[in-house]
Amino acid sequence: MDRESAQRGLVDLITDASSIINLVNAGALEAVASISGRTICVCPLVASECEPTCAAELLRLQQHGLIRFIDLEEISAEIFLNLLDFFDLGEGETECLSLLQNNDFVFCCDDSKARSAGVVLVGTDRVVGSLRLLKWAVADGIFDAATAFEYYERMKAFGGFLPEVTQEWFGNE
Amino acid sequence: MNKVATFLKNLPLSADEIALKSRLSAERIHAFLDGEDPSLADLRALARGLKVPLRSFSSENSNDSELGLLFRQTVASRPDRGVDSASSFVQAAIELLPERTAPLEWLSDFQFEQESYEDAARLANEFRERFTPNRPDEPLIDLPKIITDLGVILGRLETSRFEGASVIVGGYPFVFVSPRFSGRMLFTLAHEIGHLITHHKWTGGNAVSFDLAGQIGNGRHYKSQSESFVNAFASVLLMPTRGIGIALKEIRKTLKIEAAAIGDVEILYVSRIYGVSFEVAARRCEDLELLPIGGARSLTQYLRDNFGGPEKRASALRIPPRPIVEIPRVSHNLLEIASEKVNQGAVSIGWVTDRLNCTINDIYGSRVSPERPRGPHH
Repeated sequence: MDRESAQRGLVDLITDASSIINLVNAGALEAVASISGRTICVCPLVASECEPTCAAELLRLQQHGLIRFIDLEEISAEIFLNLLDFFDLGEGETECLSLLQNNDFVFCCDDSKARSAGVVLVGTDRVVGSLRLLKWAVADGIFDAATAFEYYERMKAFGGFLPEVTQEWFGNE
Repeated sequence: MNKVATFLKNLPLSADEIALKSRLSAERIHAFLDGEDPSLADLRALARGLKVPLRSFSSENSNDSELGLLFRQTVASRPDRGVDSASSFVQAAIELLPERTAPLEWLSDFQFEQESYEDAARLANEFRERFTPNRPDEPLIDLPKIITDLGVILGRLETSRFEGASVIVGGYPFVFVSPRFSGRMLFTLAHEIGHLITHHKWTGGNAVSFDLAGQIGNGRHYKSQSESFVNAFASVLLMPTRGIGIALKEIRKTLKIEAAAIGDVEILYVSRIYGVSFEVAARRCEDLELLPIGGARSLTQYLRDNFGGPEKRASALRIPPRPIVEIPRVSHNLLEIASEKVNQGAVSIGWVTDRLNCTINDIYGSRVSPERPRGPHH
């Protein structure tokens, strides 16, 4: 199974604050939260890492059923603390990793070190970034590649840590 | 034994006390102490109740570091979350910043014989001559920028009973200022710069000081000679003698004040122009013998009794507001290095925001030039 199809088969995206904030800065969160067959899931700690307007946007989308907050009762403190020691990441990023271990989530993150930790834990098939969400939205017909590229440029303009891609990348299946 | 049980057993608290603080049941706490694995929701309740970060429960607890111990020994008495955060901030900064073997040279250039008012005033004037040579009389509202351009790392001292702190660690000077009203923060910053150039430079290794509100801004009257000395430095630095003279002359001329004695209205104007509190401006007038000894306190009390305080009096008189002093959560000189480390994948953005007590948009914003757009909270 290639990477793209593996990701297409999984529906819940545990999304960390670096991606959420990039998507909110670009004004694209609501659009990508509408991708069919996928749910953007957010840990409470991630929500608290967002600033007030971003957190308010998360709450609004949650009320509209477009985003799901994860119940912290689902996460073992011991697993969390072991991962915190092992990977030396932030608490919000580690919360996301804790969920990856015993669930089928795909990890969505725009931080290089946290993504590498995710790959170590669950492999490249289950680690994506906000750009992949934009690409999926294009594939779903939510917006076109030119709009996706505009969102991407806006994220970069706001200071997001993102790779260099072209508009064509968003349109390629 | 798991990490949470180990952490809880090392606390000087009973199970019932932990339960009370965390709002979890005593049965749950006993179960954790017996080795049951809590959920992350339980862990957050414990962290919130005990006023510690989640990472305190891991075996890499930063507060057990040499630096954490130094910070806590300095403040001696009861625990303070702001002190722990400052310790974590400095520890992280030292990991991010390039290694430095000696403090910044300019810190050692300010010499004094004794902790006298005269020496403090001379040092303040030397500071101005050296770093703001073309503005000998002007307000220093941009003091945060001046000192970060000189290599000082600035941060905020949140949720602390202390109002300011200064530290030299690994050759890097740090100043922390508690979020207060603008005039207060400017004076605290100047006070801590005074500590950096007079007290900390003499110590060969790491040096730390934490200042309570009562230690900052009380002029010659604070019981500690060292604190009085840096208060005098801050006062002269922010309100240079000739500048105050020019300002008072212009204010009195504009308002057509002919009385010989300086009154509350002129001092309110001076405080707003120079970005300090009324009391600090009035004490400066006292030091310049423009007010009798005790005059500052009497005038402040008079304004409290009759107008609800100096700020209300100034508003009623429609005196232009005090310029805003921007104390960033983390100064740009550290944020930019942190951002580069994130870009290289050396640290994660969450690691940085947890330890430097800043937001992801602060980090993103440090990558954006002033002409380009910033996140919604910039």
